Amino acid sequence: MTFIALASFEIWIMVIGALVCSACGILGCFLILKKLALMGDAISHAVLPGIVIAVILSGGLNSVAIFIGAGLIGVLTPILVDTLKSSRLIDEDAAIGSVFTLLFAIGVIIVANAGNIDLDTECVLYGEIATTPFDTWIIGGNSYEFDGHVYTKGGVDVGPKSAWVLGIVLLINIAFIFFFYKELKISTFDPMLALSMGLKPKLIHYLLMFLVAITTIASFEAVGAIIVVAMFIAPGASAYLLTDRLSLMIFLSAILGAASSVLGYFLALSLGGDVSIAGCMAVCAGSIFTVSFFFSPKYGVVVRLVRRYNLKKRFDAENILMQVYRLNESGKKCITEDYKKNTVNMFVQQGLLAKSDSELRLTEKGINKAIDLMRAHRLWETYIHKLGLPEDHVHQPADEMEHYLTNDLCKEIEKELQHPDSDPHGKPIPIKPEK
Amino acid sequence: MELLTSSWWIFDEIGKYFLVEGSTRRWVMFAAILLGISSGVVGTFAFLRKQSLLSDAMAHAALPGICLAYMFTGVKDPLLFLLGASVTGLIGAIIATEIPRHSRIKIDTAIGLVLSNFFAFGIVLLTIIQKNFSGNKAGLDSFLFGKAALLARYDIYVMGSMCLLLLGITFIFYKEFKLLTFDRSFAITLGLPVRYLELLITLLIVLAVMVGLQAVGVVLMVAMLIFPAAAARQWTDRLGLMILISAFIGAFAGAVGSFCSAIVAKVPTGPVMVVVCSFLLIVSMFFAPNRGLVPKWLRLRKSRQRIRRENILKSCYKTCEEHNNWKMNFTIENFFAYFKLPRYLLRHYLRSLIKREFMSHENGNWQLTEKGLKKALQIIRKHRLWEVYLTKKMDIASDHVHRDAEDIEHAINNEVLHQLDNELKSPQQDPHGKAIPQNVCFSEQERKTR
Repeated sequence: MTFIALASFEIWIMVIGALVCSACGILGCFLILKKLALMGDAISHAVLPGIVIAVILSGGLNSVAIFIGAGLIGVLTPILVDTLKSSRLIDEDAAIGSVFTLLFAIGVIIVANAGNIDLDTECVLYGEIATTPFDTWIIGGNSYEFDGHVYTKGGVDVGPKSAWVLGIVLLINIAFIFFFYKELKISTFDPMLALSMGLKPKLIHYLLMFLVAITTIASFEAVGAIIVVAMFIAPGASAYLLTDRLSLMIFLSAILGAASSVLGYFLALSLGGDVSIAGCMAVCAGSIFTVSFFFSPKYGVVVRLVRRYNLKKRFDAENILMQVYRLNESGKKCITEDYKKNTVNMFVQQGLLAKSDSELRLTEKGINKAIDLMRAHRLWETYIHKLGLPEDHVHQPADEMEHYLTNDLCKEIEKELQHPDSDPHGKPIPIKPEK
Repeated sequence: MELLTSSWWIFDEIGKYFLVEGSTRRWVMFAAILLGISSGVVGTFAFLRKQSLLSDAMAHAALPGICLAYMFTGVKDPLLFLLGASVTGLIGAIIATEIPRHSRIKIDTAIGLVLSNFFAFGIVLLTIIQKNFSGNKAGLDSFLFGKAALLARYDIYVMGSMCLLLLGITFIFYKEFKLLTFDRSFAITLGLPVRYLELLITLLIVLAVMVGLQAVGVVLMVAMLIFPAAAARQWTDRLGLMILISAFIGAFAGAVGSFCSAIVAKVPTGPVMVVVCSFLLIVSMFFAPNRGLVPKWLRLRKSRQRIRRENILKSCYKTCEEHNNWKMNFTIENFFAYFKLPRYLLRHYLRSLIKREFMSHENGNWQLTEKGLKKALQIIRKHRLWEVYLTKKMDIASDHVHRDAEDIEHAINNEVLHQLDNELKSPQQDPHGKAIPQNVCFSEQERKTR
């Protein structure tokens, strides 16, 4: 067993990644449920002019100003989209697409013209998580200027700034969800009910959008504008496929987000370490989604296929049992060669059929099972014949229904029909021999 | 004169396009116009099929394709990049549409997933290229942010042929696409291969996105698909015309964008094109004749004014009826007391009533004219006939019909009035026992000024 020695900055990268993923992930759950996933995308692009204007107005990379500017734009974006949509001149998707691209374009033009803004569009798009651990927050100590830069001497190093910022944002998000859980839940699943209960779904909606914008800004430095969208959507979408309960979904999305950031870091290491770590984290988040898309116990594609295959297998088997029963009923022999070898072997193994020479017979267990099925089939035929279907139209539906009818249901039908002896074709409705 | 001389430089700049030294600029402008046309045409279908944001996913999904194409061949060929980008773009689009069909994930989430994850994968590849391929990714990231000013002639040949291909396919399959866009079920019953046609439209969008990537970049490409189409939609209800207008708007934005970035330093082409397009969209949304907000508002205002005028006439008539004096005089204070409207508005309505000769005004006294009386009678007739209709045919209690009639009296035209009268066999009294005025005829001249 090998241990991987991790330097402290590597652990910080994973911690920061995990903070980003879970802060985004828990909000992302609501974006997904409210069908606002692309609003998250739009906000993450549209905050660019907010950042740029805040930088210009405050004259530097003042983080408070940036948060305010971006938060305002973050709320402005959904308001603009809603206004455009309610004018009924263009559809929602076109409205989202036009608002964020216009804001982004304005941002790019301002950046290009504002001269010496310390803002790299490439960094805004990609993020640079690898450098975040080195920008630490030092409490106390004396700052001094040297060669045009400000340095700090002494003091206590309490860890990367972005970890603190992201931690605070995560706490705010958790507090928001915790205190407004009822409001969020009702306005997500039934906005009309929320409105009639006086829960102010509009206010909740814009608060959510504001937090999305704030979280986006906090994550920018680490992961950039586009990858943050993966952090918002992928953990929540995976969790959505795994559970039907909102609280569990939120919890799972935080866990899956954190997991994808740790996995992402190791993926980046295995690719040589020089690759985009944030990109790797997003790719891992996407892979986790892919896995849950295929293998989620309840909604996974593969799982559903397996379930369907098993059902089909059961139907086939039951059909063969009934066929043998019918042949026996009309006094004909059942020849082994008529059936596939493995099918016959399977039945023999299950003790439903017995093979003697080239003839197939039902065992006692097989007869009991076949009688149950035949009963269900012929009772159903009688029943729908009574409902008014002509007798040459009853076989097909009964052929499907026989696999679903339970014994209890059969008893009820029998009572309803006052214990008939034969089906519409005159064939006897079999009864299990008393033991 | 001074203004004219100070704006000479613009003509100078335009002139430069036609000189030998402007040949690069000509090519760039040509490319921007090509891009505008192709995205305008294809964007129309994306817009109408509500796939605008799917094209955003395609644009982002292009990045890994470009990187892979470079990693496998080691050549920076725009045609090769285009091929790689189209393949991954198409895969991304297919995944985004397939996810909602096989799970309970909605289309918007699926688009967001594809968009961000393909892009992240692309960035990982880009950083690998940076490390392993002698640190040279310069040609690659121009695809991301768009470097229209750096387009070479070969790039433009590629773009031009792609654009022609797009237009050709759209022209050939115009009828099928139209049917698919507006009535998918009918297309299926006609036996059209709907799945393949949808794939073809998706492919068209992918190609249009790829044509534009180099000029405007990943993020803004989707804007070039949405804006021209959305603006064109406001002007017409016909698909053919919409495509033409959309292509024209796209081309215009391309020309203006490249012109601005050529004469003003530091203004990137792509964002300017987007801003120009969005400006055109805003103008269209406000001023397009039928759907525009301003014409709509004007229509609303006109009908509101008519309703208020009619209400004034009606209440004058009712007061006259009460006092059985058809030459009754009203003072302005009477109107102010009766209508809860701002005074300047009321004055405005009274003036317009006088202009239409419905009322006369003398020494501060207002009076209904002959014509005004006729008009009022007509409104009252509509009101009371409707009340009868509601009580007789709809079984609504007679004390519940007034409010409804108050609204409908302004909307009933003469034909409906005639039919109502026939249906009710010309009643003489309304449910409250008041007389219904009988048919009032306007002379030709009176009819002209309603």
